[in-house]
Amino acid sequence: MIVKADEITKQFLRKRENSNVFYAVEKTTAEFRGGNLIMIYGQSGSGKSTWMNMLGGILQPSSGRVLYDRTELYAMDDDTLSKFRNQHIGMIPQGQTAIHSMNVRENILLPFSLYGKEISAETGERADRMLEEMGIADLSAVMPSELSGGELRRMAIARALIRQPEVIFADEPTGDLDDENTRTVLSILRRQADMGKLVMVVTHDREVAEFADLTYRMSGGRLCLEEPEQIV
Amino acid sequence: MFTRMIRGTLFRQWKKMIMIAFTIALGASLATAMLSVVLDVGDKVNQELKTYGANITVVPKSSSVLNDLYDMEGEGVGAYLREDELGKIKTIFWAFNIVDYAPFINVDASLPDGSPVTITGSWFNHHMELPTGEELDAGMNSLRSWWEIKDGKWIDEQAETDEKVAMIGSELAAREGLKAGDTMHLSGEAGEGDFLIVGVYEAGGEEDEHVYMQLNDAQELAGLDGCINSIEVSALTTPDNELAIKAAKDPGSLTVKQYETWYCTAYVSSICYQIQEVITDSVASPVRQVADSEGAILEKTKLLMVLITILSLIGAALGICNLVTASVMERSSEIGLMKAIGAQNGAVTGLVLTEIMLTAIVGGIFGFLAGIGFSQIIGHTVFNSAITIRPMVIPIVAVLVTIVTLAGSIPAIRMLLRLQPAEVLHGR
Ligand SMILES: Nc1ncnc2c1ncn2[C@@H]1O[C@H](COP(=O)(O)OP(=O)(O)O)[C@@H](O)[C@H]1O
Ligand SMILES: [Mg+2]
Repeated sequence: MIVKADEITKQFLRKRENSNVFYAVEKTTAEFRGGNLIMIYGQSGSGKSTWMNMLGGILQPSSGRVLYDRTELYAMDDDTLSKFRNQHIGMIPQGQTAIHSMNVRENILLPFSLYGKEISAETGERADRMLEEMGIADLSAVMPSELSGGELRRMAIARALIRQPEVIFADEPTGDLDDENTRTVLSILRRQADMGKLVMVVTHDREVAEFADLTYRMSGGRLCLEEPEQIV
Repeated sequence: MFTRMIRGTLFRQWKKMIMIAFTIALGASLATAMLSVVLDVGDKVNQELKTYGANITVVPKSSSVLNDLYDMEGEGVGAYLREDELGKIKTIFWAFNIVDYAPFINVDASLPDGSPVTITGSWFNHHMELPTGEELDAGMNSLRSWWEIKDGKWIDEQAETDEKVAMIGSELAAREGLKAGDTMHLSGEAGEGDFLIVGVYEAGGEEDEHVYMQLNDAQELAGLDGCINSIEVSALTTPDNELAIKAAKDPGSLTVKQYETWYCTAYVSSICYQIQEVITDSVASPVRQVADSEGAILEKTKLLMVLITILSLIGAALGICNLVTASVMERSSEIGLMKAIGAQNGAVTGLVLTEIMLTAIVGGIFGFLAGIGFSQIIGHTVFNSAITIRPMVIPIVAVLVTIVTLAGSIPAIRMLLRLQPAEVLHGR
């Protein structure tokens, strides 16, 4: 899968001296291929999340197109786009996200249950394997409110991976994790890239770089490739 | 899992859900109470107002003219109405508005000691089966419901007995030393007979000196078979307006169109007019005040109740609107998350609406039950009788609750649809 940003921009309303809008993401064109772990590095407020959300299909750009192979993301109607996200995109949003009325296993299975599907035995097994892999198998029946930050993050990753999407976005996945958890999470994502998936990790944490194939820097809404010699 | 999610939300937001249910219960209870009363109140007000007696009297034309000329009580002037025409009153255009009526004949008779006594023959609980299929027990029992029975009971026309029966006024009873169960001999101009006294009444007027008996018994005493002096009619009427006043003076002065409107409206004057049409040589005239107030009270009461219902439902919708919006806002990050991982708008909306509707059903049921209670309280305090809950109330209240709940949820749903996952996800 090739994900392409074609001259996308995002502007938000904000009172300034001379204009009412400002660009969170300036006009950017970029292309990303499966099998890579892309790191987007930048300071807080530089526009990383905005960028990632636009690519991940949950934030409409102010201009430009986002293409998944030949499919133009924001040309789809809302329901089709939702379904597309559900099937092709694994989103690990910034912060701690969970449905608090469901236990860990149910949260992980959410991408399936949203479409009212019966959870097949195979899917159930995959969820259990996922729990195992993330090291939270014993928390399967626990409610999210009882989990630590690292456990919640791993749950969110499992949730993003359960449908085996081709493209995975992780917004500050290691933000509030200790060193050991950080390594676990990053190696899981690394493995996904090795399996041919496109993984994009947004972070302000330098440590991610050693797992990345490509590193971009986001600064004031401008994206630029940081180490061109690493292009695969 | 869907149900699990709903249960989870209901559980976690139980305080809000209880508030929503409570709001709906309040609205539903008022709606139930008011609707039950409004639907039942026609009959209740009828019963209530029937206790004020008749609002139309019908007398023979000649006696009416004499009345007007000489301003005297025109009894026994020589003209009579025909008993066999009585049934026709229930065939006029406004037959259904005629809730009760009774014929009267006044007869002079004497007691064994020769002292004169006035006898009135009438209906008591006269059973009628009408060509329309309607059944009616008409007569004094309801037309004179304010009479106090001092001793014994009302005459029961439907009792199977050959004995001639009578009721006597309390003053006559005291003077003659008679009581219920005694037999009294009466002689009239054309006949005489023994009458069993079944009841002693106190009317609070000159009737307390009189004797009341069944129409035919009185006619026999006087030899006036098939004759009656007057008819009292209790009819449900629409308050008069200018047209009615104009028509009451002279129906002939109306245009054809006006005439039709007037004829087809239950004004007391048009009902009188229609009675005159079916009773030969009669004059029907309204007993004003009661007739006027009767329709007015009923209409105003209904209007008031409908207004209360509408206002309470609007209030409930506004309350629900606030609560549902707050509930959605509280969960906006969860909803954003669901959308981000691919939930379609329909699914999210369905989820929220299902929760709200479940809550509404619970609230609605409690409200309905409470409303039945309220309506009984209203019935007893205002109309002095129980309110019959029409089955029709259930679907109406269900529809109202649904409409109010959905209407109240509209702003929240709109917010849901506009919600951008990226904007509510954590970090924003
Ligand atoms: N919905 C929004 N409305 C207004 N401004 C926004 C919105 N989302 C982001 N911004 C602004 O855009 C800039 C970039 O935000 P973000 O992409 O979240 O930064 P990062 O993820 O790099 O910390 C910030 O200045 C932020 O305040
Ligand atoms: Mg961010």
